[in-house]
Amino acid sequence: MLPLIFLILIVAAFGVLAAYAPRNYATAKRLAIIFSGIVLVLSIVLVYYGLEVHGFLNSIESVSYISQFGIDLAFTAAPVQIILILLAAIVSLCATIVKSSKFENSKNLYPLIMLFELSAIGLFASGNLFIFYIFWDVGVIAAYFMISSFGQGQAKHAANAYLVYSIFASALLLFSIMMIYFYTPVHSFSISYITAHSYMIPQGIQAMIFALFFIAFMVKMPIFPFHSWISNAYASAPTQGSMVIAGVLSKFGAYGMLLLFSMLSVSSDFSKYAFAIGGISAFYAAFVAMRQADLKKIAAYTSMVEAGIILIGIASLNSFGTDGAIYLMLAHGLVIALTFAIIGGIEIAFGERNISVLKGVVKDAMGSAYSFLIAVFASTGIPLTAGFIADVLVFIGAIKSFGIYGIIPLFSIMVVGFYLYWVVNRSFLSTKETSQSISKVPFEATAAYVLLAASIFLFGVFPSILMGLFNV
Amino acid sequence: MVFDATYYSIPALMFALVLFGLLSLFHRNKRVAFAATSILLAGIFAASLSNMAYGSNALLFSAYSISPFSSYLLVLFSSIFLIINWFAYSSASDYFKLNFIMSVLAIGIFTVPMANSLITIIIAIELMSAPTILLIAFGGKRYAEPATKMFLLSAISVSVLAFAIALAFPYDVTLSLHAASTANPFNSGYLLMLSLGLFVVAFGTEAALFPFNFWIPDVYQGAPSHITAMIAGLNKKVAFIALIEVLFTLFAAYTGTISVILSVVAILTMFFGNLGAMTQTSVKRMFAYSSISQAGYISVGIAAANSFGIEASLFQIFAHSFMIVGAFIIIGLLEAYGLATVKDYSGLSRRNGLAAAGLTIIMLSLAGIPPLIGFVGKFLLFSSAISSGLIALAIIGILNSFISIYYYGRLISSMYGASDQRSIALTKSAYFVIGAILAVIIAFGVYPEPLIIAAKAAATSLAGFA
Repeated sequence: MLPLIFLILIVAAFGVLAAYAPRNYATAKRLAIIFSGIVLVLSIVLVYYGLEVHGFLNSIESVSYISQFGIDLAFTAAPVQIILILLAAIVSLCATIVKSSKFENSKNLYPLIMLFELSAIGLFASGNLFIFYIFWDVGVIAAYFMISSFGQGQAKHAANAYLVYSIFASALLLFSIMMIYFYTPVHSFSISYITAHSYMIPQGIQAMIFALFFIAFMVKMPIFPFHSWISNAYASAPTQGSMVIAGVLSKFGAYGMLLLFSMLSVSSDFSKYAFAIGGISAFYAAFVAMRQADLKKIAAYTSMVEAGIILIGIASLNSFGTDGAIYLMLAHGLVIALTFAIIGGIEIAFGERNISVLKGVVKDAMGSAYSFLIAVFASTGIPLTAGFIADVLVFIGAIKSFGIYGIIPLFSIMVVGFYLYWVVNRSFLSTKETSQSISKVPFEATAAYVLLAASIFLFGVFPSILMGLFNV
Repeated sequence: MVFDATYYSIPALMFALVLFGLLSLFHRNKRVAFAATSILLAGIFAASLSNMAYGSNALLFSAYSISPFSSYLLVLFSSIFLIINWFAYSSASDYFKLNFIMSVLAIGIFTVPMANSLITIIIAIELMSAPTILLIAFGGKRYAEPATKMFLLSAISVSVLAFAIALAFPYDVTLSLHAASTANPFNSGYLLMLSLGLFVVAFGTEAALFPFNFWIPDVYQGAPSHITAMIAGLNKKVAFIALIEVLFTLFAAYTGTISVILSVVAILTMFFGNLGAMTQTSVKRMFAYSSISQAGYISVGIAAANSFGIEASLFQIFAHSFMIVGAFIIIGLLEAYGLATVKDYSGLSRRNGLAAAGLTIIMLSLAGIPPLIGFVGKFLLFSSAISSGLIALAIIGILNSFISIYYYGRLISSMYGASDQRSIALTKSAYFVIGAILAVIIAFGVYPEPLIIAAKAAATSLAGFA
């Protein structure tokens, strides 16, 4: 059988070089679009293989890497992994397509996006924790350079805050991975081996490892109280950077959390605390979002609400909750990428992204305004969008595990949804007074809107495409 | 013992190195001297590489031992020396003079990993440190201060070393490292423990271990860059090798004591280096402190005191040699354009892309970011600490890597800022050498397997571990 994941990673790696080589901006961008387009096509083939080719799902592609520790370069194509790879491919392609408001000297942004895509796909597919850690850090550093070198405003400050949190998380992650390795009966980094044998690790050690992993992933998701890097990082990053950081990088944490809960046998003892933390985080973020006027910061806190809901789904520890969490990762990744693409487009068109100034976007930029409405629909879980399927599954799962309390976090979505509709009405759709546009929304941005919005509806109307992977 | 040309080629090449160095003093042709030295060093590199590949074991003149351990280190030292040789050639005006002294120094450096007795070690260390002082002092009057510091330090180090050997003498009358490890005739005694401690002090002074490392920042900053690169990339590593050899042959029975002493030293050294680096404004001085903290990481492997720990230390010695030499080469080349402080470096990426990118990759590697060689080294080191139960040491080590991001990140974000200064042009050969160093850092980071296997073979061949 074709080693499809290796193929995808190799294409992405060539994409990094191809986007780095040319001297001018346009060629670099074009090459990045071509290579991330190929990656997307291959990811679609991956979904097709998963659904149709017998025996492909859960197959492992591996070559020996460091034999002394039994580390293989191993990649698994399980349903969760396939869904997240697809997400990374779609979001990265859209990120290479859109235009940012500051594009002078931003040629080197494209190799970074490709490097980030490479790390995201490698991380989601990784079959052992060592490879997981390597791709994790590559992604973190690529995102750091996106913010610090190509950001606007307080970019340096935001990038440093981001880096401090991220490296803190990486340090915890590295230490816990080493601990797991030395406490498994036959020393191993393999995720499937650890999952099967975690009950043999002493309870106390497991609890410690769990806590360290949990904090590391909380930083990345982000979950209260390790969230303070997001608002500045998202606000300062270039449009492309915000799209991939919010859309894909935050899924590193969510995916890690999913692995953690399925990997360690001790996790069922902690699930109710995780549920509580997720709920608190969602409510906290919902109320903080209401105090923001910068569209990017609103989007940042909305995404933090969703991170809390994802954690709740994972902590439910039943198939509804977990499937819902996975679907929400996909849905939210697409929605937040769309949101940031729109905000980028509006910033180019109006030179402004503060909602107290921005009025009547619909008059001069109709596409952006209605796309924003679609994004809000999807993030508040209106039927026919991908967000609806995800929310329904998560809350069924939560109610099954935590009884009637499971429904409470749903109100955080309502709170933030209320605010988002108010924003849409006031700044986007109402035409009582209108801001004057300074230029048109670029064509590239519109293309990205269409691609992302189409995916949101596709996975909302036909959830069976991806949910089918779980039943093959 | 069978006569084997590859074995004897190494002492022969070393002899030829000194001979050509001496000749170059007379005919005073820079290019010829450079070419001859490079070819001979490449010869040593090739011979050691073949010895390493075949896992050769031999004892020459009953003083030099060829083993996977010495071959591994000769490969490292000869390749680093090739780079330093190029750097000295391209930046020093009186290269033919340096060439002779460096070739003498090379003998000392190459002898330590092959040493078979304590006497060989003390002579080799002396052969290494005396020429280093001369090399610093050659720069002229303004280098008198670092040269004096280096001189005092070497004098203390060698005398302490002599005393340590004297204390160990009753327990090891042949002064042989090999015999001691196999016979293991020791009774525990406080004299012996004192000897162990003094060995740590003597080598720790050269290897930049706390609290014997206050000279490092001054000398590193004061000395000309090619000498700084040499001290950081070779002299310091040689001291570590000597320490590992002595501790795990002569004192192989006392791994518990070694573990305690080195754990404490490692923790203090890491904190001293990293906290010191945070407040520096001079880039060269910052890297001096960074190199101290790296000495702390290397000691973590020695503190683990098992075969895995030695392997990790040897790996990190290899990794750090390349990283720090690369860093000091870039810094030295930029010094000519008046770049010294973190502020001067702002906007370097606009002025010279490769220098900024190279320094960034080296710093990310020093900070332990995958997939670079420094990450693999740290991963091995902290794993070895956990494997021998030193979990606290591993946590403190990882915490220190976290701290180090702060000062590396500061320089990186400064380099990628705006600049209106004129651009900096480097020579083609500079691009080639920097490119080669970066290739090593990236290649062995992405695929560390060959180097890990070599380090493992080296660690297990060191007497004391089966």
